[in-house]
Amino acid sequence: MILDDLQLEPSGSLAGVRRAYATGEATRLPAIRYDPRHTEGVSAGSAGWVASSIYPVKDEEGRLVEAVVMHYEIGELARSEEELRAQNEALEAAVAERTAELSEHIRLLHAQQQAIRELSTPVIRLWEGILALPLIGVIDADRAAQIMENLLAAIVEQRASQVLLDVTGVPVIDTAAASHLFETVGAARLLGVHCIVVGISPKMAQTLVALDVDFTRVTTAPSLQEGLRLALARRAAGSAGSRAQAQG
Amino acid sequence: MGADDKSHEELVREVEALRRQVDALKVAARRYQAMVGNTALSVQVCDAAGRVVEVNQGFESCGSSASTWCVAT
Repeated sequence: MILDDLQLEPSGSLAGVRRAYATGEATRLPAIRYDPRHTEGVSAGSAGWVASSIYPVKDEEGRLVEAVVMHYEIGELARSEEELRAQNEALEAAVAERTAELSEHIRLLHAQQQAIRELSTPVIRLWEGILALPLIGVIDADRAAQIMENLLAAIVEQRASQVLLDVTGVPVIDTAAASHLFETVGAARLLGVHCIVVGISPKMAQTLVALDVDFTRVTTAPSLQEGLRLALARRAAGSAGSRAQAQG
Repeated sequence: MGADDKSHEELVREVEALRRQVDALKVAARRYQAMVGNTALSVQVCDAAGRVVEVNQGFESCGSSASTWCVAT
């Protein structure tokens, strides 16, 4: 009974058949995968994709007497579409998986870069109120910004009054690197902190002179040890001045 | 004047006209059978109640015989 065939229901075909019977109008039915063996009383046949149309036949008074149902097999087409859809889904899943992997790698890389940046600009407390910032490697714009950020944070946190910028581990100080250093020194000065640049090698000094970089505004010392001695002397002088001021 | 009053000639003309109509119907039926029977499409004919009363050869080639689908008419 085509009017009660439950296989036609999910696709909306059964509603189409009933509408054709009720209105007497030809109706195209959606494509479905039909298995005749699921029909009551039918045990043979094989499942396949079909698209169907139903054409009601009416008598002279307009009453429906029969309906002609034509089925078009679309097995190959449906299978191709199904395979294409499955391939697309697999491809999209693979792309999504790979994207997730790459995102995770990028996140790890960023975390590692951040860790490297933090490790490459360690701020060490040498004495009460005296910090040391040993710089190792090339000082570019990104690194200079990181150095300044870390140093200023440490100055505030440690209530420092003096900082030793140790450039022993910096292979080259050119005009740009010197400019970054001056900016750092200037920013620290705004917080009331005195900076001493230590570790300038003879070769580096020659280069800076050749480049006409003016280091006269910055206190320098040949080594970290000498820089610390200067800082302690300055600290002692500051304390004595404060005491004299208090007594006077 | 009733049917009994028709002349022999009139009756002959009516019978011949009916015979022509029957012949035309037979031709139409054969044309229908030729088209539906030989098409590669699967065709079912259902009655007003939705029962399958006829299927074509294309339908049977899908693996189901007419006898399993069609109700006795």
